[in-house]
Amino acid sequence: MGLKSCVRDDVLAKVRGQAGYADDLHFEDLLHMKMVRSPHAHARVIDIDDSQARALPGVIGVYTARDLPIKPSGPDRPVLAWDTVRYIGDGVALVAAETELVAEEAARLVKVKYQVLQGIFDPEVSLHEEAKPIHGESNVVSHWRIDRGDVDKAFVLSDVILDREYSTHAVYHGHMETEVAVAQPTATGLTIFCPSKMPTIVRNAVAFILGLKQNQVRMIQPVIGGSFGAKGPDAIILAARVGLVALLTGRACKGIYSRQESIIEGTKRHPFRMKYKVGATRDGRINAMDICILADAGAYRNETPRVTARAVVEAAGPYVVPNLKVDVKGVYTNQVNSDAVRGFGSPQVDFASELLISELAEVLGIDSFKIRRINGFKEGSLSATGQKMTAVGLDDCLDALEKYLDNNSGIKEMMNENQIGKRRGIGIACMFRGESKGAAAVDTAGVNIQVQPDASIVVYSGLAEVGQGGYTILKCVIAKVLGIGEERIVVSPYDSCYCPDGGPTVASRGTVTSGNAARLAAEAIREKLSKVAVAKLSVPLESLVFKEGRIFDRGNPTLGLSFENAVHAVYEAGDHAYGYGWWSAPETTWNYETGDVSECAPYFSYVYGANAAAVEVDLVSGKVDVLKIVAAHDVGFALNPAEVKNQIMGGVGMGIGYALTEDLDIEEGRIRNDNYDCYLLPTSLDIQEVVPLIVERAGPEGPLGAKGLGEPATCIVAPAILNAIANAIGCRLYDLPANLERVRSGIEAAKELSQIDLSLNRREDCPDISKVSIEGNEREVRI
Amino acid sequence: MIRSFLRPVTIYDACQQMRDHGENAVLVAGATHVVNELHRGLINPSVLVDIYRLNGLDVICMEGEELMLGSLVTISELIASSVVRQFVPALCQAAQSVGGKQRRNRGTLGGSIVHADPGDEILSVLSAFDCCVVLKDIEGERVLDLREFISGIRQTTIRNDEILTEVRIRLPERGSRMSFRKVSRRNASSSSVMNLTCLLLLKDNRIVCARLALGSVLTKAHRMSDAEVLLAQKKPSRTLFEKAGSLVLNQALQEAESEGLGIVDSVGSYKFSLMPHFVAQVLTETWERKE
Repeated sequence: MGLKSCVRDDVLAKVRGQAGYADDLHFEDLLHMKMVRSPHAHARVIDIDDSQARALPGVIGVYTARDLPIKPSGPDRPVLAWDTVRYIGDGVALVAAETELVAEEAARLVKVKYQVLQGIFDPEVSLHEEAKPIHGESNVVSHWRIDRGDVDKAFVLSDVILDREYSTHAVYHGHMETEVAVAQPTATGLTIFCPSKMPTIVRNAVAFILGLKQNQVRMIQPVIGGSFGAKGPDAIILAARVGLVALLTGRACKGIYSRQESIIEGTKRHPFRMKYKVGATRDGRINAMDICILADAGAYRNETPRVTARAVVEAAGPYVVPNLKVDVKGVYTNQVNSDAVRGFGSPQVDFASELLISELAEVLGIDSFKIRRINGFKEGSLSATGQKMTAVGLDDCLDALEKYLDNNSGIKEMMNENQIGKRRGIGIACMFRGESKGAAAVDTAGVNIQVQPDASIVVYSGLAEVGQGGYTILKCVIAKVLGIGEERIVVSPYDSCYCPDGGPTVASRGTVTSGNAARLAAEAIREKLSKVAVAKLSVPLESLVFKEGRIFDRGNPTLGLSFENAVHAVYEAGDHAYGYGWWSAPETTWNYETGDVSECAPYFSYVYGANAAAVEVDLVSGKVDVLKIVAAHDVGFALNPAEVKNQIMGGVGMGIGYALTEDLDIEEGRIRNDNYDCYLLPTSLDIQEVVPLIVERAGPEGPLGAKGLGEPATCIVAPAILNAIANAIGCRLYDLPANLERVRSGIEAAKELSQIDLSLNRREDCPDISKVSIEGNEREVRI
Repeated sequence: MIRSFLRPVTIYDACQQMRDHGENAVLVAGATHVVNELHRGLINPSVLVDIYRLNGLDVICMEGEELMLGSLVTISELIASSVVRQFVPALCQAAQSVGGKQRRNRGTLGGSIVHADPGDEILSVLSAFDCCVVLKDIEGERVLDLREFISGIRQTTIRNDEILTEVRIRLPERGSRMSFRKVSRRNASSSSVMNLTCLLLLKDNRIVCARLALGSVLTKAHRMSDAEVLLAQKKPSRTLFEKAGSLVLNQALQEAESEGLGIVDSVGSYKFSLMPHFVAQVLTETWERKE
């Protein structure tokens, strides 16, 4: 299976304390930047009085939007607000001072006079006719639709109809390192040190905001302390803020957010409200679905158009739905900004579609694997947007998962070991997900490989290593193509001066896009070395093999030369052994004009997954413990199997947090749990056993058939857990997170139906789920 | 802004420095609370007086029927102490559930007490016992019952120039069974949504004496006397424990009303819906415990 595992490129420096994070860098004459942020969710800025702040010894300057070379306007989040603040955390002014403490003190002394405006905190309110637009003419950021077949007719012809509402919540990325950037003025412009998931984009954006050419900004990526989808727009804004100070003062300037600042200002996962109606025949075949989704974009546009685009494509799940209506709107509110978080619109719709199909299975008395196989994509199936699906790995994932559950008696025994006052349950969920950016976005990456005269290799790539193991993937691909060991290869840290653009590390795209660019670059080198080998060995090109550090004749393996000698010969001949690869994703289609995407091919490839969760619910407190997660993911081809497993484990951890404990407590735009003491990431004691299952159905585009995994790993953990909770307590929950309060009220609802005896002294078997009547939303069942 | 950081070598010096700097000074030991408060801007001292390295305040010993605990005993030391484990096992249990390992290693018993968090796990256990605290200043010392010492949510009667040096726990009768349980949102580094310390002394399968201290519901950990009275002299049974649970709920509701606490939010209503079952569960668990 896959290639041999190798140690991730970035880990040794991290565990040895040698990794250079941005906050570890030292600069002469460094200034410190602190923000003055709006305490109001919506207000006009009437006056900014910075006299007291400027009078404080050590303060170098206080700057506002008036100091920016270009006036910020439009729906994108400004570096500093011009005259209106739209959420609690919007930047109003920034202070530069000799020390961080003085900057902090000065920021408190800046007196801003606001005229408080009515805020909108509910996306439904935002859509009311009388609601004032937060930007431009309308509060709708994006609106995508699918309309296929005849939904109304299909409902009439259905035996069962379920009508459900689901909601998901805002969560924080939970990176260990908060946002940080340092700007240093240079003779030609600026050098920015900023850990970001998209260094080239940050460079380009900073140049634009500060009125510079792209080649005047040199972007250097220090080691990053986690991304998980963060450090995109937040990094741009912070880098531009310190860049502004550096340009205005001629001194280096650093900005680093505290955890509270990061949580208050930074972007979050889009909260979704979803209405799902499904009609099916009694044998479990889905006839029709009608889906209506509202996504809370927060105060500015950010990535909402693309998050909602992904949501509309994936809303119906990996199922063939002949009659389908989907309507997804992204809507402005005066809440904290929503943007990319690992999953990017998928976890929300996966949650709804997977809870719905499991409930449908319960109602119809069909096995939950079976109903997914009946409706799931097969080779050649038509997707929600009418795209013909190929390389479909859904059944492979379901098979792998079911086989594991069947062959591991431990799970069944585990399910029967109900402790006093506790109840165990198991649930599954599956998924498909578009690879890379999709929706007709430009999707390219470049990689430059320089084989040195001593045959060691340096790789220059614009791919951001965010801890996902991206650099190691490049090494694996190059090593495979050139038939050498990875230890020969070093990937250079990112520097925009000499690294080609790799696009952002988003959309689980690094393996496919930069991996392919690395493959192309390595193939260019191979071609050069082949010429040398053909000349030296007098064998035809077709019979050359690159393996184990040698280039040799397939028919006569002893006839060959070492990789070193081949490289040496290239340089001897006055040539170089450099290779450049630029990969551009196959064309995808999208309808930006009308928003109707019923006939589109939005992604060039799709990945699949199936997860199972085993949980134990405390019937008194409602506390849910996740006993085990089994996660099967189709990765096409495992370039580094150990890392595939690690990605899955990390993704599961994030999914458990999303399902159970992570929850931003927001009231009228104000985040109340703004630190890790009350924003509860799962700990090692909350993430028990994770079993990763690698499924390989080669993708059409990835290097060696590999597919991306970063986000899928986290997408369907929550629905698997919620399905397991329903199995345990006999009552369904429809909202995330499944916190103590919600689970407890679920238990009480089940108790009213006398499904569960809360007895403290007796052991009982699991409730038979087929006999449990489902409480919750209204439902219509006609059998 | 902190302008000086003092590290006295005797208790007397520490008290003197606290008196000299008055309200500008804050006493700090393990710093797990103080750093949080500084960070949140809840306190703004110019002087920190660090007593973490004072000698003699980390003693754990028995004196007659009393367990003496120095105020600088760390939470981790409580867990590791065989004396604590033997005589007050519930205190070990509670200590184990405090924060994460780093916090347990730094945080002190005294810090827990003087910060008087209503959900503090250690205070929940101490409240179930007859317990007093020793406060020293440059003139001498005073000994206060823990109940008098804690006056409200995160409020105590300690003066700024006093140092809590010692806690004395009067041990219950030998053979008492005790346990501590908490409800929290995750399995580590999580505060109590609710906690309960339970003590049962049984003779001939009859409850001689019961003590229940409920934490994280009212302004401070609170003894549930109505249920204690009910339980005394009764034969343990599931029905009895459920009745005790209902009495705890009633008393907690009454106390909450008299303390002017809001109980209508979702967390509040969750707590009250959970409470009778939780109490019955912990009582059952304590009863089933070996002596």
